[in-house]
Amino acid sequence: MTLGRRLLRPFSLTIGLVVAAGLVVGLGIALGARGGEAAGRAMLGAPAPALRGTTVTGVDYRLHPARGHLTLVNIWAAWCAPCRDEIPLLARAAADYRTRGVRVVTIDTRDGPVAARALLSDAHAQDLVAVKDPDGRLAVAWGATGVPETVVVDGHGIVRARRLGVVSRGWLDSQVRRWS
Amino acid sequence: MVMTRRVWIPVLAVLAVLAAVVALVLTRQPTPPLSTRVDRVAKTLRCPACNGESVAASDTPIARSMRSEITLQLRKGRSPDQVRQWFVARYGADIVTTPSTRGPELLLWALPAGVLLAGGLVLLVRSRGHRPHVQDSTDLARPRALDGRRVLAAAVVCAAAGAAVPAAVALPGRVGSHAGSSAPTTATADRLGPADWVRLGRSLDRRGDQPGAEHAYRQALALAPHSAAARTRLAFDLLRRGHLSSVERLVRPVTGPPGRYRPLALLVLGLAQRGRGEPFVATLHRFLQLAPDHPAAPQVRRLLRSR
Repeated sequence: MTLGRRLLRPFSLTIGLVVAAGLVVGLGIALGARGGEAAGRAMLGAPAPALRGTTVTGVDYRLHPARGHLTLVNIWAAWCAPCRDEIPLLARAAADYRTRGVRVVTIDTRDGPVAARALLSDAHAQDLVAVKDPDGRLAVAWGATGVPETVVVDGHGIVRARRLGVVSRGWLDSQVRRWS
Repeated sequence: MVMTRRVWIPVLAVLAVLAAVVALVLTRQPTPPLSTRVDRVAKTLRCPACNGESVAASDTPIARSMRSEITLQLRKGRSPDQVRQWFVARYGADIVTTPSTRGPELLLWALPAGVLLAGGLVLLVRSRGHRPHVQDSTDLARPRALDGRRVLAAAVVCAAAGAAVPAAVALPGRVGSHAGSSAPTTATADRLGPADWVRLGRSLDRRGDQPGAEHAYRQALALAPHSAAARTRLAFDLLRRGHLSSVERLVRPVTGPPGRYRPLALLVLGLAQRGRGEPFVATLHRFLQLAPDHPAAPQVRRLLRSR
């Protein structure tokens, strides 16, 4: 039997169709799952979005990213357990980097100011700038896919790196060295 | 027959009039309400923290934030396409639910089309080559039921293999982008536990977003149906909004055993029993016995004295 005739047999046809259908389904799942990774890369190399609002302590705040300062923007919430673990590390980093001209600014997203202030106080992080984002729009403007998330903005106001999940001090140090 | 210019001109004129009427009808259609327009745009955007869910279908905090942004932008008069572009600039082309026609996504369009084309060609070839078939003795002897089962088993295996290959290729890449440290991925961070949902509920409650708080407490309850915190907070939220029907059912299991939430549960239960005489008084007395220094205690005493 020739190859052509063999391919035309019902068994071969069924297998061919099912493999193709499986490929489409698998590809769909894979591409769907890829969304988070692609989202993390989308803003790299682009100008940082605006960051303006009121801090949890009631102070007006406006970030001017393109003024020569490397800026680390962290998005968090008091209801997020990993964020609660991360806040003390960010507060220490902010204090250590201040003399080097590096700023750490945070966005407190979909949160209540009372809970946010309580967490900052518990973590001895009252000096950390935390801009209120009650409806989550600032987090979305910064391309966040969840919390916690950290974005690195260089001195020219360009987004250079993004970290999904809790950061380590090693990662922060490496970003500061690389983009300062 | 060749159409002359005398025929074409009236036909074109009629078509132009018809097009104008259709355009007029379409433009005079009432604009749907904002919530419908938000929902339409949200359905075309992928929730970046979920697998395969749209922003409209997802209840994650980020999807809710994205719906807030869509609402605001549409309210400002931006078109759905402009809103989608705004999201694409931040989250990449994958944020749109319609697959792109470039890169690997092209396969999603091309493969089904190719299969249909190939299937059609095969059917054509087979129908042309079809002859009246006479079964011979060997055909009659073949166990046809066994063939059917073999086809089915092979089909299942092949479907699984076909689905597994691209998934296996793409999924490790996703995890790998955060590999190299013990930091949780976004998906892990978004997988909130019952205590996180309760905290989120309390935060939303303090902001005055009581429906949002109710949603958060219900998420906590779905994860931990016996959570005293989730039951009591949800019951309290419903009580304050006047939704009394399920308050007692929610809070009663917390009023029995000793625990941190027992006094608040008794207070909520007592207030829900208001107007029912004896149970109301008895429950609030139990509350006062358990928590005489509770911030609500003076008000409860006044309430009982006023009866």
